[in-house]
Amino acid sequence: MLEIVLLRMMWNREESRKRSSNLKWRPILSIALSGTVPKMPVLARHEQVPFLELWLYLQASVQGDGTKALNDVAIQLGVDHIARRFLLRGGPQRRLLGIFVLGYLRDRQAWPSLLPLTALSNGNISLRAGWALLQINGTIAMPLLMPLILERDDWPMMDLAHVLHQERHQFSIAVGNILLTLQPKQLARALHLMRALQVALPAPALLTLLQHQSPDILVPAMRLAAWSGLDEQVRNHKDHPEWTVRAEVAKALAYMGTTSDFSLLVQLSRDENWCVRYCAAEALAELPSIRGPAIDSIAQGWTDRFAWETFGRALIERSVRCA
Amino acid sequence: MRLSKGRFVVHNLPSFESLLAYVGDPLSLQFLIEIFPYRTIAEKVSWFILAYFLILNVCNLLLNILALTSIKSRQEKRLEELPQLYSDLQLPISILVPAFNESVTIASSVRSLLQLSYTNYEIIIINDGSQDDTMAVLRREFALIPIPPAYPVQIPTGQVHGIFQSTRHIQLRVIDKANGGKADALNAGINLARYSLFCGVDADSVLERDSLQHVIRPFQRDPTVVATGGMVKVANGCQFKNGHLNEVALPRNPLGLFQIVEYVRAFLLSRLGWSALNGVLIISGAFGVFKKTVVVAAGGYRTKTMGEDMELVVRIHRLLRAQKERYRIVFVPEPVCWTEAPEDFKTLRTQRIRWQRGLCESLAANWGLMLSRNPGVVGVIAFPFMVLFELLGPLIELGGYLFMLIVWAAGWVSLDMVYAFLFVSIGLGTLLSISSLLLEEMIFHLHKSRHLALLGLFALLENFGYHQLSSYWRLIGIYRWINEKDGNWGIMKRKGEWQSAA
Repeated sequence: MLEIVLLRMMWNREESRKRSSNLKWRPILSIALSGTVPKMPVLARHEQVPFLELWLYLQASVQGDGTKALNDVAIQLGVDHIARRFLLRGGPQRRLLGIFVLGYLRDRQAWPSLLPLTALSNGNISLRAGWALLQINGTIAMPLLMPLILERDDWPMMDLAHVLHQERHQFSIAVGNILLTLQPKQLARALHLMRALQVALPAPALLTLLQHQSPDILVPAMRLAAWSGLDEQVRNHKDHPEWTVRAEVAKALAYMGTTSDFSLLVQLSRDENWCVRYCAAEALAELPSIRGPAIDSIAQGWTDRFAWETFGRALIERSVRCA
Repeated sequence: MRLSKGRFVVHNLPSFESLLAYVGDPLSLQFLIEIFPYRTIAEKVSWFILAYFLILNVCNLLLNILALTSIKSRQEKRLEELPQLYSDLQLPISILVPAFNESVTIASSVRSLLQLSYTNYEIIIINDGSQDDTMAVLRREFALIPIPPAYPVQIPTGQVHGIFQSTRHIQLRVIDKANGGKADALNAGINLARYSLFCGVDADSVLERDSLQHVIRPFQRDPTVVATGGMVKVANGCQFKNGHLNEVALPRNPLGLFQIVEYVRAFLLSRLGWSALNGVLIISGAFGVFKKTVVVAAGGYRTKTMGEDMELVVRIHRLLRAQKERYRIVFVPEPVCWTEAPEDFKTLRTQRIRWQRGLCESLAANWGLMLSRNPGVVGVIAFPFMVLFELLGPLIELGGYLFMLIVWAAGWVSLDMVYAFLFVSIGLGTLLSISSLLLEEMIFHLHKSRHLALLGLFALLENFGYHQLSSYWRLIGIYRWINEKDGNWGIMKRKGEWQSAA
């Protein structure tokens, strides 16, 4: 009971500090964001954490000149020193705060302290440290981080894609150099990331990848190939024994298909696997020629009731989407 | 007696008259009473009961320590407040909502689900043969149109009358089917779900806006995760606006307050502790996410049980253990699903009887997990724990109270023994309830200070009557399971104030 009371008291004190700090610093930061140089009070020790949280919140909400104005305020207040101290001597939360702040400040001095953090077993801290390094110098950081990007399963793809978003050009260069030398698991991860980041691959590399046997590699490679205009090479996999590959053909045709793909999609819409059928039906519904009377004529020629019903469902869903 | 050539041959049998004389003789009866070791037996049984309660509470305290160490609440909390490295690459998820006679609340429940802060999800409402106008409300509110029933039936279910698509919300579909119970409805939803993850949600529950983001995170971080369960909290007394939580408050009804403490203990202490050991055996039907392929491989929800949520989780453990697969079932303390708890004795009694019966059925149907060649922590520790302390618990607990009362009144055990019993049964139980509140305070900071104090008081009071009453209801559940009486969900009296106001 006593511990609960103590915890509550601590939390109340923290909240009250946060409130008073925000009351003091929010107007000052707003003035700075408007382009005027504000008169800067001293950043008290107990205000450091709430101030940094507010500063990070604003950093995430602004761009361009706003970012620079916030960085100027931070440097003036010695926030870079505070963040570096947090990095070295803080607990996990303070360390995380320090990483974010130093990343936004693009603080070169923090590089030697940030680099070892990427090897920590804590996925949150290591990934964010990687992000900060990319912010400071993407060209140098990318090759250093590449083995970790391709190996660390505890770096979720979703977060990783966001971390790499700004540096996706660097990523495509770095990964393009080593792509064909990667192990299948790393290769699949790299391709999924490239697909998420919508990064293009050179045609020769894609053609090699499209010969791969593993569906884990073929599927993301096919999407990249479809973006690169390698339509025919994608269509060639329509009879692949693995259903995920056939479904990807149908998905790719939804993206790049033309009227000439009609018969191929009809064939896929009779596939033994329901997912392939459904993807084919969606792709058919997306074809520009499949409107009005064309649908009736298709209906008359279609003997497979299940395929027709799947197509009917896809048509309704498309009409709801468009409405 | 001696056995001779297949027959009992009785030697030296006393005559009836001599027996009568022996029993009728008060001196002989006194002699028998004196030589019978009542005290020794009473003491030994008392020690057994004491040991039982001690082991139960020590196990729970160990779970508590595990839960405490596994919470990196402060770090996670800070992370949430910091700018998130957000992306549109969220794993897609199908939300399945079985609905039976939910015409009053279904529209607001669906609207609430449509406002979740998640980019990639679909909602499938399964109208399980409602006798009220649930289906009519859905048609009217969401402009449903029929679509062809083109989907693979991977799990057999009751007859599906039709599939409907909302013309207002592309991500909303409705299945109208014959009544087959919650498990059957969920199975129908699984068949129609298009995504590889699905989340079962009760129609009368309300999800926090960011709950899906939390509950999906383990799947993103670890490909071996097959199911995650989220924290379910009691909504009674809270204020809701537009289908979402507006203010956390407490109910005035003492039963509601007791249940808040109970829920916190059950979820934070027990499930979080077991999660650290990969021994979670229960994921609440009110809010749990599963990998569809694993559930389909396990055969879907079992329809002939009253605890379909627990039974499925135990069966998944059994299946994956037998296949020697690497997998994890995770409890996530952060996401919050709000549900209404019963506030009258009759409904609460029915619910507790049903839960206990469901537990008995789930464990009895999956004994194989304990006897498996690859039992793991779940087969060696979690399952026996459930059998000893959850299944048999009410029997030994109530039997223990009764026995100690009798032997103390008869003067067969010392007062010290009674004190020791009260300490381990009530004192440690109270300690556990309080420590659960501590866990909650570490993670959520949800309640105002005076509300927290009130909950502390109810955590103290809970072990003086309410807990014993609950054990009695659970004992009835065991009795009904043994007698194989027909299962009955009973009528859940709900106020649904927040939803009607939404």
